[in-house]
Amino acid sequence: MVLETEDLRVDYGHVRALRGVSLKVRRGSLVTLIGANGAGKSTTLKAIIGLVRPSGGRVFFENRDITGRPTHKLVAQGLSLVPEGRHIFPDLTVRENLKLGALLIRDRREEERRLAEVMEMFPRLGERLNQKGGTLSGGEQQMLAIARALMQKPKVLLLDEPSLGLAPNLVQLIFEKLEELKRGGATILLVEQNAYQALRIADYAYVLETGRIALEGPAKALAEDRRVIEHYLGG
Amino acid sequence: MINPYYEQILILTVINIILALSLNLIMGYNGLFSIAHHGFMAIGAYGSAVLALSFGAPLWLAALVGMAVAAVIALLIGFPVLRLRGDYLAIATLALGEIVRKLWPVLPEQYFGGAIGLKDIPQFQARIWANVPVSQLDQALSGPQGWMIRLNGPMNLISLVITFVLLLILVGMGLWGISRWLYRLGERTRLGGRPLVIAYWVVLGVGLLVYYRGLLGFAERMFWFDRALSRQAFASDQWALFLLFVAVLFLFTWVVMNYLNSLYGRAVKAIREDEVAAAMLGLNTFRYKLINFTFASMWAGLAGSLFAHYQLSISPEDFNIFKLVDLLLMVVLGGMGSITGSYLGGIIVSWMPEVLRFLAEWRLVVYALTLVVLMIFMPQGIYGYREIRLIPTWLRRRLSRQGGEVA
Ligand SMILES: Nc1ncnc2c1ncn2[C@@H]1O[C@H](COP(=O)(O)OP(=O)(O)OP(=O)(O)O)[C@@H](O)[C@H]1O
Ligand SMILES: [Mg+2]
Repeated sequence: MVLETEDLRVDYGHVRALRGVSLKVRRGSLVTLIGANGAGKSTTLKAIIGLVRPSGGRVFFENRDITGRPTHKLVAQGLSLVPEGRHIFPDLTVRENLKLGALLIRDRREEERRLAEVMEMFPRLGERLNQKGGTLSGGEQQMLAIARALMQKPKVLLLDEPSLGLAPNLVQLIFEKLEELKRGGATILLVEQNAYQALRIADYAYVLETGRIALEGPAKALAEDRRVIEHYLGG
Repeated sequence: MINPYYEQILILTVINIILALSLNLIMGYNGLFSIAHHGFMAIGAYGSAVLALSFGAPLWLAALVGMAVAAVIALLIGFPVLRLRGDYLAIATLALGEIVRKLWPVLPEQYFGGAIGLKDIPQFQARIWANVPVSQLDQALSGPQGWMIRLNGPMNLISLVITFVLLLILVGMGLWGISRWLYRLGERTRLGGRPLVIAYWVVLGVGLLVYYRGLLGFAERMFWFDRALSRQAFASDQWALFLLFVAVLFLFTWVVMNYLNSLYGRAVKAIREDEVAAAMLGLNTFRYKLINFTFASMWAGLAGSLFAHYQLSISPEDFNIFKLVDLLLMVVLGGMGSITGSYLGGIIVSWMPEVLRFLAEWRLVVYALTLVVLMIFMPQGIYGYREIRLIPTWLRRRLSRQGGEVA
């Protein structure tokens, strides 16, 4: 297990956002976490990467306890999060945005190498290197956010609703890219509301309901589960 | 040559620009509404003055220690305070500034001068190009260094001309910046950009025509064309001091430019844009905020030290809430996150009271109204998040092989 949470709990004041979430991510697999609005999906990712402090439970990364570690240390160790809502730098060009992803890398050549790799994966970004991030379309911005995270060569990539607010054809495109990443051997924990697409490409899936894991299993099996179909796949 | 009274304002302008640029590092570049800057200026001023007065330290050492004390206190205070967000940070730092002001009367009076403050602080001795005190001028002219002093005249004239050309450029930039801003405002509204800009230049032109007498009077008061007096002014210590302070300002500006392009500077700007995204880049956001706060406060300490050793007397009231208002105005008016803007803000706030002098007691009303209007319609300031390009863009492109650097 490269990433694992054990009975993870998070409280925001009186709001109990997570009431004990345990999940496992195997190296080289794509695991998805689906659930309704406010189920606690984003909170789970934030607690893993240290943006919120868990009130209980533990997080393990490569079998080491990383609970409550500061974010920047986890990023340096190989955890990257693409947060909900893109968070790119709109006034900087695509190239500058990507280079910021490799901000902590001192080796110029390594930086260029990664830039080339990422551009190969996202040719649309390669064509727009000198365009301001803010002038990209929503889908392109999302790709830029993912590409920037990939510049860090993460061991585990955490993605928070990459398809949020995108037109169907762009959603399709994003998921194709994720499949491509997975084929390339990446380890991904994907949070999604688009359960249909997420279950289609994932190996394993968890269903979160009001801060608890309600269901889990291989993605194929969950896609055929009566409760999942009823609640998350629209009948 | 130059009216000593205005020479004084020139020197204070330089100090104000240092303050504006250092506060801009916190407010404009890091996006933190931290308002204890006058406090750090006071710490630098008192630290340096006490060291020079009571312990006879050489002034350069006193100034360095003043900076160091300001930095250390910023570090200690930033540690808890910078974890706060938004309004809480503003309130905490505002309280901090006031605490610092109330602190001096409580400290041992023999060193800190109590509520009255300190006087007879040693002055910076600036002797550029063999400047001599006016009283010894005739004697020195006939001495072995007489040629140096004769050279001193033209040299000072050249530096004077350069200074005023720079000032004119800055004023022009300010007017031009407002014009650009009006254009963008017009584009966003139904007015259209061009009519608004034309109206602006017309109003400005008419205004200048109407006010030209005022400006002439201002120039008359500023410059003296009396030859006998001009020989004195050439040799004045004040002028050498001004040049020394300008040198410090340029050094500081150069340091800031490099800082802003370093990993630290880029981290600070990334945090301003989007703290979550900055954290995702692997940046320890708190650490960079703390470093930036300490760095900026250190330069406020230097400005305080220059102030103390120039004005020669300081009191707790030199660093009260009005000083803070001045500082905020410089940054907000001149331009957030901009070196050009800091220069412009420093100059405007230092000279506005003088230029508006003809309004007599109405001055303060006009002053306040202008500022309120500007703040409502121009919240980023005249040069907000932009810099004037001293080198035209096409030339820059040609000079640097790779176009485009991180902003
Ligand atoms: N900063 C906060 N302060 C207080 N409550 C919060 C905070 N952030 C989240 N919550 C609450 O915690 C619960 C879980 O929020 P979370 O953002 O994790 O949900 P989510 O599953 O990501 O939802 P969505 O699909 O809408 O993004 C919600 O009830 C939310 O209102
Ligand atoms: Mg969410």
